[in-house]
Amino acid sequence: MATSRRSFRPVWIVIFCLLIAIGAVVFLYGILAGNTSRTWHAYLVNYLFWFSLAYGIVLYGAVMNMTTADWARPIKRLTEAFGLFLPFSLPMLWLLYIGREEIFTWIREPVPEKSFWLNTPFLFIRNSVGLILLSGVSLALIYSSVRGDSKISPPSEDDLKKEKIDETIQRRQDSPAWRAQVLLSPVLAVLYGIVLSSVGIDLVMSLDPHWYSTLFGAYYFLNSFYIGLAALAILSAVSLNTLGLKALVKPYYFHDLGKILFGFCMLSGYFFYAQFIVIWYGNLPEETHYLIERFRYSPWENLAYVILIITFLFPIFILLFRRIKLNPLLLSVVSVIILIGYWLERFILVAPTYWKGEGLPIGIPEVGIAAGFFGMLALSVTLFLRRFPILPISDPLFLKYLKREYDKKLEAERKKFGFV
Amino acid sequence: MEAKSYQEVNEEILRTLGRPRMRFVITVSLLALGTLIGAACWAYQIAHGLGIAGYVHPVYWIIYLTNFVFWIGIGHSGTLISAVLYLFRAKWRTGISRSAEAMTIFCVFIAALFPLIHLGRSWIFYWLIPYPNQRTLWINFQSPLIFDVFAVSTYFTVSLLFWYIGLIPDLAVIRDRAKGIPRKIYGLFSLGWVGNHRQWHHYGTAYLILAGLATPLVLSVHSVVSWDFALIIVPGYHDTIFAPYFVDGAIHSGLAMVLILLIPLRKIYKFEKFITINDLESMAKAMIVTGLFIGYCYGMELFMAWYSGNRFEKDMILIRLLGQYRISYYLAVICNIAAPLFLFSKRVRTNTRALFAIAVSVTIGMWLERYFIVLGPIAQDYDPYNWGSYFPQPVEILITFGSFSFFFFLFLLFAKFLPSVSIAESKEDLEPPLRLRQKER
Amino acid sequence: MAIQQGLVGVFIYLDDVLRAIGKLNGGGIPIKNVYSPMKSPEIIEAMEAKPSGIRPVSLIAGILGGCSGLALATYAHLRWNLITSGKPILPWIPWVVIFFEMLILISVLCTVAALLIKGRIPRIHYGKGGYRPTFSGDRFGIEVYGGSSELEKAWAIMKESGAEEIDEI
Repeated sequence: MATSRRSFRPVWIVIFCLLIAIGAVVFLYGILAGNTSRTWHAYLVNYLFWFSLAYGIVLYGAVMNMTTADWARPIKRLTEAFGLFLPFSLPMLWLLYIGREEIFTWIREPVPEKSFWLNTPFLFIRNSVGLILLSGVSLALIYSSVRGDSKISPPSEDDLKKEKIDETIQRRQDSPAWRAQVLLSPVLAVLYGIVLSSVGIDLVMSLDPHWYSTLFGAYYFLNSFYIGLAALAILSAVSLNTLGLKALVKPYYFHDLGKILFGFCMLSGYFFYAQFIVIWYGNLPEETHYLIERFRYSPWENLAYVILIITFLFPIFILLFRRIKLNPLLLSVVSVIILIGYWLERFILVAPTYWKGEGLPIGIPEVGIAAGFFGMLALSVTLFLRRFPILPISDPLFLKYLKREYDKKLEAERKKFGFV
Repeated sequence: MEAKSYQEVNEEILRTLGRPRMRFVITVSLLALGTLIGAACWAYQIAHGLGIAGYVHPVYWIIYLTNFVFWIGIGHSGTLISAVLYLFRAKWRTGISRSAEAMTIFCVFIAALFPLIHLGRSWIFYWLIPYPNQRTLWINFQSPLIFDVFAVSTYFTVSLLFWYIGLIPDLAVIRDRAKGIPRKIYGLFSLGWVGNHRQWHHYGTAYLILAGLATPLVLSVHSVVSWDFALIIVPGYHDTIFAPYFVDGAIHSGLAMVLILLIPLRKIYKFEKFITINDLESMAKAMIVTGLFIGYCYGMELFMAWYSGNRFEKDMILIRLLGQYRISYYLAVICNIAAPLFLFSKRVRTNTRALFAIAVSVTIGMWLERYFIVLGPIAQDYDPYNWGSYFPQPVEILITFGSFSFFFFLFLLFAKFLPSVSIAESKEDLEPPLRLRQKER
Repeated sequence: MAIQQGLVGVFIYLDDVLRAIGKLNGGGIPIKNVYSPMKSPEIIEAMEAKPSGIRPVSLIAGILGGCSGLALATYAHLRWNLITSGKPILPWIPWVVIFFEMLILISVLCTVAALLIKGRIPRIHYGKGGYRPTFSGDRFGIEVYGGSSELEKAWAIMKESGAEEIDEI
């Protein structure tokens, strides 16, 4: 088994810090120069996109534990790498508090019958509590996973041959660290569903307080999971060389990840269509105005079709091909396109509520703040991966994976021998 | 998978195809009787009209549609197990997929009967089929009821073909061991399968493609059924969450029905080697997930009814909680959401009696859920002057009872005359016989 | 020994079968069929089977099927305008469902048809030739045809690889 090497250049840390600085500068300039509405909304769009991506990918680690999937075990640490970024969702939510009057129209024009739910203190308190719980459980899960690994050394090939390996696997399965992970994973999944629904409803749906859709919360958390998977594809491809995972991560891993990506692409499209057809068919003005604004009025109409193509039609078509799924680089390119598409999707949900002018408000505020968030995310991932062991050595399923791969190698050799 | 050799696999599974015992004959006869009672009630209804089925203004969608949604929903789990788990290469699928797929076909067939029963004038069902006809009429392709026609007929065809293609190699196994007339019948249906490398090669590809094509049907068919309701602008029906809500409920009730069928099958046929307790446990774990999502959907409906600020939505929820059908709502919450929570405990998950009890409770709960969803909103919608009251009538109850009898009747016939575990796939799961291994021993 | 048309060798072990296939292919003796009680990726690989041609059939049939559903719906709506509550006469949004269901239905029907055609089933006289009932139980089989010298070589190869019995056809 190859030990992990980190061929990582520190210049990247400088670049990420630079990106954070750019984001902060653009943000502050926007606020101070008086372009407050647009800057705050750009901040909101990016907040929604980047944090839901991070929570989605951490959820994937929990899902892997719950389904006892061993095909993706080598990259388990990659799903946990976003852990350092998650706690920032709280202070950055409180930052939104400063700009709340720009973002939430129901502050200046309260909606009386909804004021029990849509009032500033309650909204921020419940979302803070939710995010504290969610990031807390995520960090606890990551901690249990990492804690075991720093104490154990990786198994050699001889260890894999011996019968003792099954005993070792059993012992690891009974260890408190693994048990904690098995317990926390479903808790995380349930919290994820509830908290991200709440975030979606409060921070996106309430921007248009007269509109509602029962599926919106689930739509939001499903999309977040989907973009988390796309981010995982990119990170896996990047880590092949920089983290020396090439020996362990076989091409079929990317094939399987591509298949899951395809499945969730269809699911996301399905959730979107479920909302769309019900609202379109019912033709009730209180529901349709939201869709008409985004699909019939310029300047949003063209953007909506672009989003439909790059988030749904393009991935569905391209991910049918085996060659694309097997190639890490091509899969990452597809994932980047999907991520851009979903950034635009968050944008089109938020932007029509404040922008009544000509043309699309995509410019320096949006891109600059996006760069800042990206810098933060990349920096926290990098710092995490430099600090903690890459391979989840103490994970019993990882040992099972190694044993399986080793057995497969032996089997192939034996068959060749038998042939002659 | 404890069976060691191919011969053992053959013998174990084919053992169930022997001469039926007396208790089997009695059970099947009773179920046939139940089916006939249901059929007789249908005939009575055709003669006397839908009024005796309790149809009263404005409640025109009642138990037959509840049954329709219920039975279609149950079928989805079979396709999930046989198609979706095949794509995921889940090992625990092998012992249960054949029975699950058979369950799907019977469920969809029974479900397809209910729109006919509900029509009253069942003989005019052919008006739904789009063909150039002498009436120079075409169907309205915009209507969700037409989506239903396409979706349900596609689902039935695909499930039947998928099940049958999987059966062909197993029928060949039976053909080669049978004599006389059974040999001719099984031989006919096995289509002369010989199992040469070319056939297996194409079979493998075709089966994978069929699994891949059947998978989206799990989502789409029940979504189309849910849109029968969601596209209607009645508060309580017109919710965007209906599609995933119904699909999830379908899988929930379907897993429960699979457990209800398999736990006795496993015990009576002594199939513990093929349908291990781990397989049952995996299904139980899946049921926890589906149950939690149903809880989420119930909660979201309650919340959104208030949040919408819409007077009619709020009243609809209040009527659901306090009105005529409130008992079914509370029972459904307990049976669907509270009962599966016990599955968090490993002791409960690995105890077949507890699993069976929870499965029965979920089945009842899901039927009641369909009941209050279908009936409640239309009984009391916008205008109080238009409200109506409905009570279940004997005809409908007996037809429902007949449908359950018919389902178990079909399943028992399947379990007796066809291999209820897939022979070829069980053999694929075993290590192939190698001379190398023989030398090592 | 005089051998007429063909031979079928019955094997117990899979590695014997794979060895025999390798040697027969190496010796240029054409193998007609390899029987097995279940799908064996090793045998399929050894026989160097091309990727099954069913995949493109499914894809094309699916797309054509979906389009035919849309075509039917379009024709019906143009022929008989049932205007429902302000919706356009040719609404593409609900027709996504029709397209999708017809895609799946036609694709499945054509996949099954392709399987039947390529597998050459249904066959009435399946037993003529090398098929033995044990092949659906726990035995493997290799069926070869050829001239008498080729068959003698084949006989020797199969015996050497460990065939349980070898029959003439």
